[in-house]
Amino acid sequence: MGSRTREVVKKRSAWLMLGFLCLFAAISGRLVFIQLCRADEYAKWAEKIRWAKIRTLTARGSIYDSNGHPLAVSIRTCSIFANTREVQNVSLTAHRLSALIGGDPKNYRKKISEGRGIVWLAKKIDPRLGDQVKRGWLVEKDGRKRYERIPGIGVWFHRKRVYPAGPAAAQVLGFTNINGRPLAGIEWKFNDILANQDGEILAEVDARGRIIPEAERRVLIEPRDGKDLFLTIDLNVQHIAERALTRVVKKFQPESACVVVMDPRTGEILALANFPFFDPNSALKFPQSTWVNHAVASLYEPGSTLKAITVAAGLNEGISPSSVLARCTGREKIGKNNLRCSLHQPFLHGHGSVDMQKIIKYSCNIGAAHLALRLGSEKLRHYEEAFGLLEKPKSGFSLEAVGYLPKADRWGTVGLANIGFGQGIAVTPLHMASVYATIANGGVRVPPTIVRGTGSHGKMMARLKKPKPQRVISRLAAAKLTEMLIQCVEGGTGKNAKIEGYLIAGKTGSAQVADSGGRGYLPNAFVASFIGFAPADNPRFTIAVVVNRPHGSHFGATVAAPAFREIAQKLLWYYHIPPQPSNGGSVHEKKRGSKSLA
Amino acid sequence: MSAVQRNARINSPDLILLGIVLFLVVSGVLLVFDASYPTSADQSRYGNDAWYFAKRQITYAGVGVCLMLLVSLIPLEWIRRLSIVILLAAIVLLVYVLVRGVTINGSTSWVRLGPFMFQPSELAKLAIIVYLARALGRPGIFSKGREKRWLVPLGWSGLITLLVVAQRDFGTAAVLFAVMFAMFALAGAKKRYLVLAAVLGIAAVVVAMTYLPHCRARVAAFMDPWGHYHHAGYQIVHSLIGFGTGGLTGVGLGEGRVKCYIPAAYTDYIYATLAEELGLVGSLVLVLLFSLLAVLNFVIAQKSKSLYGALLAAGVGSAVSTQALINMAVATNSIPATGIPLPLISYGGSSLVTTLLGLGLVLSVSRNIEVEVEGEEANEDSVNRRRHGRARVPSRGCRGGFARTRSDRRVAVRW
Ligand SMILES: [Zn+2]
Repeated sequence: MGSRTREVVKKRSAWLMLGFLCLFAAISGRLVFIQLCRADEYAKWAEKIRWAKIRTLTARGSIYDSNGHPLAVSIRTCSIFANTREVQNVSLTAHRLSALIGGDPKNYRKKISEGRGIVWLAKKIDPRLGDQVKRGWLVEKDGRKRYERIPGIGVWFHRKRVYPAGPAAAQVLGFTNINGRPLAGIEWKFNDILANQDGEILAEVDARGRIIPEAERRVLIEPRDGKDLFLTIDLNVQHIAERALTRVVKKFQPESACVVVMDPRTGEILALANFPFFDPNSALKFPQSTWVNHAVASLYEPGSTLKAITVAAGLNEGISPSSVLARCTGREKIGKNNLRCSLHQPFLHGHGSVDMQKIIKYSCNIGAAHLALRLGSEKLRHYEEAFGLLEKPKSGFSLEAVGYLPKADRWGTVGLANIGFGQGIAVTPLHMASVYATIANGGVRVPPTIVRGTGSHGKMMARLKKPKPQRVISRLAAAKLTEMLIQCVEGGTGKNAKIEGYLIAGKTGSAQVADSGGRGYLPNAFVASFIGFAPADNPRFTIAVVVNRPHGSHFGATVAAPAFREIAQKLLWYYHIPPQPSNGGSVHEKKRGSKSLA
Repeated sequence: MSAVQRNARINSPDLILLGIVLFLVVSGVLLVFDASYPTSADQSRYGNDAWYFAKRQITYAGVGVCLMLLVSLIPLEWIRRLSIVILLAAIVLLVYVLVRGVTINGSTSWVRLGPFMFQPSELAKLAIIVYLARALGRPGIFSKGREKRWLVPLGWSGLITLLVVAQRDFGTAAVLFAVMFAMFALAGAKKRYLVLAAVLGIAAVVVAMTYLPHCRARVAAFMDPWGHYHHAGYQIVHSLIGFGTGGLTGVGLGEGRVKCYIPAAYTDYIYATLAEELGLVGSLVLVLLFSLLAVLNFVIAQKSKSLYGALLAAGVGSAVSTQALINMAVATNSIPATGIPLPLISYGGSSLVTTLLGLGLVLSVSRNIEVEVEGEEANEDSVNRRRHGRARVPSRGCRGGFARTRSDRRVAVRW
């Protein structure tokens, strides 16, 4: 190498070296800037991007019937969405999605290409399909098979409320919206017990949003499953009640109708059916009017079925069952009001001399009015109150109605007479069922309940506190009244409820519907009802059938009594209650140790 | 030749350079493991083996270091004779990759060699260095009226650069350009030509950034990485976050998170993991080591008694330094992104082995510092040049010119 060349090499090497050193120095400056001056800002971004809130899916408590059959459960489900900004190839994505979860690829393509941001492609589908979508698309590359994420497609796992029994006891259960918020019924009333709390963990995640195992994590919200609720409803009884109700509805096309079945010994509501029906699985597709739990929330004038309270008051106050209260000619003027009895064979010209037995057996309004007048408003009101008509039943339902009854000093003679046979007072079907359950239970009132207890994983752990039973009328009075109610079914207005071989106690009722606008009653608008219990000598269940505005007939005896009979018959079979060998009240008398009532 | 070999035995290679290189290679293996295990342990295509990449990198490093030591021991003359073959092999492979390349991670820059995947663009760097060192390693090629002497090497190396550009590998093209610039400068090219080349190079970059859609997207992501988070900006954002969270002293070895986000965490963005885990201290130490490497290379070039050796050292030094600079600049978002590995550190056999081969050449040069290569000695002074040259033409073909180059090739092939 010549000296000149060497000179050039030395000089230019130095220059090049200097150049590179300058560039390395520049990089160093940049490093200082990023790693010292801007460190805080990047740390903030790191916090934002690298930490994610991870949801732990929990379940809302299930609702079971008394036999442990599920009435409402939360199942894991998922919904598929597309983030249109991240979808790379719309038609390929649509094609792959269609292959993975089914559905028309054209539909997906349309949704993705027309939407902006997050677009829902499939809602509440099988979570296994969601797992598949999350895993991705199987591709074969370089001879290796592997799953490739479908860009822009996401899966949201959530819970879906399912009501396995469909419309059964729908108004009792209520329902929840898509977010699991309760909107009605038990779901709403007992939300504190049923509600779950999804957990939340703040954790460092990797690019795919998975928690980095060795990284630190913070629990923000402790996950908590909801507690299960056990109802007193027996799904079998519920089905029996609903089938009978369906038959009534078919025959008489009422506006609404309901059935309440109670165990008089415990106050437990075994079934509570309301027409019109709705399916809580798709509640929002039904009109709101179908969601109403009429048996609990709607007031009606009980009519003749309330005579049981008047008579119970009379009996408890020591009036002899056989003492004649009035002479009925079919019509009578009390005060300004014309009272009428609805007359049938063989009483086409009035019920004649009427005692309490006749009031119940033939449903004599004039007799009941006279009995009420004899008792006086204070006493009668006391019994109405004692039977629980003037308070909420506190059975566990939401939106329970309180019975309507004016204050005793404002009744007047006309009001008192009317209340005696069930007019001018408004209660709910559940109130009336409870009244008859009290009679069936020997005069001791056990308030109705719908929830038996709470638990978890399908097992009941704790019973709910029960209200205290209270004696309303004496055991003797209850026995006498029961005997009268048996006679009503045996040979009175309740004949249609009679079941061969069994003692049935019950009372018909057909009341006009009060005009909601003002005073007076709507023409041709009636509530037909039948309330009773069986077996009368050892009551196992009380059934109230209330049919609002039936068409074709308005008599409780023709509209409601057959439904009562159908339900009672099936329940007798269901509870394996053998028929009584002898007819009449002899067995009953012995058991109760009460005097025969002629 | 006998004199060369005798002297070669006496001088040991530059031990500081060797030390730095070995340190970088070992750190590289550790970093590759550190940055790759979340990926390889997670994905079944890597056998869920946390050591998948580390094992391979250890193999490459072993092979590379052996080759480096071997190259540093063989006489430079051999390499000199082989350079045309290497050049032709590089051209053939570069053309082949354009026709039947294998696509990995979206870039078609791989060819399959038996069970191995190989990147011809890595060989191209080495080929240009050895070829230019030979072609420009004769004094006086920039003398007036003999433009052919330097225009021909310029043409060949330009062709290689264009072939690399055709692969859209602009990072490697930039490295090749830097190598060419440095070697032409060292060989004594006229200043005005060098300025012209620099201006043309910058103009080419500007044109590419303005008109090529592929480049424009990267420029846009460079300007606003957050705005392009879901596409080109993603890796940049996470790389920057890595640098930022590293702070002064880092989050601790193995504790970094960048590797969980960036797919290329163990290749092009390995610097982010280093900076995150060891902080500014770590990232500056690496800059320092590469600066030292550059300094040592150029010092060896200065000290080299032969122009050929000086050109080799400067070429390798520029290649390694430019590559390191581009990689670091990309990782810190100082320039628009271009995929280029961090020399000696990033995962990848082609890059590691060719870089080590190049450094082997430099070690060899450092060993031969006190030795004059015979052929060059013959060309040394202008008085002797013609006589010696002519005397040696038939056997060695030392003189430049296109015709001679062809005869060189024949010799080389025969050899
Ligand atoms: Zn009468």
